[in-house]
Amino acid sequence: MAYIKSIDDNVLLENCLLNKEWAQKELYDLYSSELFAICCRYATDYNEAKDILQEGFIRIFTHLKQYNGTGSLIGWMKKVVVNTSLNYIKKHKKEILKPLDFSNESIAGNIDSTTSYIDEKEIIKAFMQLSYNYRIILGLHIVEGYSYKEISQMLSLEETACRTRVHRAKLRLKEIIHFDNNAIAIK
Amino acid sequence: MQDIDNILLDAMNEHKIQAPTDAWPFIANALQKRKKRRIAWIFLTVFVVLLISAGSLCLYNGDFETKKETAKTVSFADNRNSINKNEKNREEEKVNEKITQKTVDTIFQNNKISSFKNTSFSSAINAETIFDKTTYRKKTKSRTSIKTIISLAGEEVPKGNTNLSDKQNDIKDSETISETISETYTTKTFPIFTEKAETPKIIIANEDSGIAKVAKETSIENSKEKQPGIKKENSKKWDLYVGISYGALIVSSKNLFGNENKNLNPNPSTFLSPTFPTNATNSNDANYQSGKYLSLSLLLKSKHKKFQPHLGFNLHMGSFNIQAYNASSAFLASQNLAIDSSQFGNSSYASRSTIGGRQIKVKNNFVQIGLVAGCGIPIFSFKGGHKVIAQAVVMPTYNVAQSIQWYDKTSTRYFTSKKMANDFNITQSTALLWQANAQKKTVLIGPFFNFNYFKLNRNVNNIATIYTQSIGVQFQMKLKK
Repeated sequence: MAYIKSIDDNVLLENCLLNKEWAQKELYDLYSSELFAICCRYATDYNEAKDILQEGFIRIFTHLKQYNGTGSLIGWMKKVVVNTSLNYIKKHKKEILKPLDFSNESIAGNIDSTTSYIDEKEIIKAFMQLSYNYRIILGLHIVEGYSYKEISQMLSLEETACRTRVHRAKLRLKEIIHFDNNAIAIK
Repeated sequence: MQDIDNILLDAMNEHKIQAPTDAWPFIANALQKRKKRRIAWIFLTVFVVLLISAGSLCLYNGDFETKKETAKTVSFADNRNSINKNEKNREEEKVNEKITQKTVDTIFQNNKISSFKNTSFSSAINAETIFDKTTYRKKTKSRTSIKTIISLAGEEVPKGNTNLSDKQNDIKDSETISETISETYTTKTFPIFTEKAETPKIIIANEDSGIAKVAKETSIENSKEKQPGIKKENSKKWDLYVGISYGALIVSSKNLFGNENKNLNPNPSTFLSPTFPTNATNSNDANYQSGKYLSLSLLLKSKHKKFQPHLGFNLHMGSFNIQAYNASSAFLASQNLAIDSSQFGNSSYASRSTIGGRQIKVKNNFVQIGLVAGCGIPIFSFKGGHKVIAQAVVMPTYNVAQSIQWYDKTSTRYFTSKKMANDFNITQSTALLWQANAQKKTVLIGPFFNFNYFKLNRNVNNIATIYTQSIGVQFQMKLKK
């Protein structure tokens, strides 16, 4: 199955490089939901996520020739969308660079504190309930795997500030889901 | 704390959210626009490159032409190979060089005297020598590269007259001479009597002067005849022309508002075709499409006498009105209202006007850029170089902008389409031009006839091919510096 998918990717890739619209549509249908999830991770609302997705796909199709075949296509596409998201953030969201105010933080969300199981949906829900600044920095560090140094360069923050934010974001996430480190079990 | 990282990572990697359905049309549209923009940029780049090339060529030719009128170029450098060919040629060349050397010495001396005797160059110097004498001698002896430019103008002197200084005083003043000399002295383009001049040159004023004759008859003519390396007078092979065509345009396709429409909507509830009442039987005579046509072109034309190929660029701008007549009765207010309200997406049609309730005019525009390839054949020649030229060209074009009104049978509405079925089109053009040469300016004027076709994308399954014919006047002018 993976082999067939790989062939499909190559065929799609070749035709996308030839600017065939059907292939571009096919690629979009295949991966748009995964990429849209990334967009939602870095966007403040649905419309913004849609804008990022559109911009990301345009960038993917126009720069597809730069994909040299090393690694999976979806991995490359995800990276493009993440970079598009970051550019979008830099362009439209200057407040990310502002220092954070923790005084007004409150636990939002209604995770059942008695449950000992954490559903994937629940943790995603909790993640989405994080403040925008935490969400971005946590997503970049944990999900995308960027180092503190890289994040500090991306967001024009100091490395120590990045470390602090990541740490606080994790604490906040834990607070939201009433995380019990000893009782964790994935359904 | 490590666990939450892994849980979050796993959850996020598997996380999918259904993408919005309306995102793809925007992406497809944006990609299409980029593609079009790229094509337009390619055309523009090619156009600019060719324009610069043509301009450079024109400037070069113009510059050369100015010199050509007063100068002839003789290159000794090119003779080296021929000199080495055989001993006989060498001997002949030695004789030529001696003669040339002698002439140059004479000219040099005469000019030197003349230059220092007279303070006014324009009155006294009718023959000016600008060259490095030392280098010249040295190089002629060793048969190295020497380039001599002799500018010839002025009065005629009998052959063999070497007493040039006396004759020079008799030569009349000439603005050309003074300009040439003053320019030479002021601009300092060529070093005068310098030690290190690389290209010693001789400029002798007055084409028909004795100096010219002497130089011509002794060195130049001999060199020309006997030395195959000497270049004869160069001539440009291509001329740059700018052209403009203006005329009337007629849409000959009948399926915009034509036969097709009368079957579309025989009894619409809310909307009627403006052209055709429900009882229309023949709609062809009920609509009328005409407009204007303007074309600007930049052409490179060969100077060949019998067959003149053309290459270049053109910019077409056309607009035509679709005027719908209702011969039997005036349009109803509701019909006009329906047209007023026709929209496609967010774009309404370009312009519309109603005249007296009986006709409706809708303006359509298109702009095309393209290449020109064709030829002209002189069919009659007259005194003074005047000609009648038959010209035929083919112009592959690209639609850069269009706004075309069309009728959609599904919605029974009129829309303005900015999307064509094919952006690449062909225009064929013929013209009969009168070529007039007056005061070194060549102009061509005459009637032209164009046949242009492009396809209009009315909807997915219904593509209308529009044929436009235009007739008018074409004017072309040779560009000169």
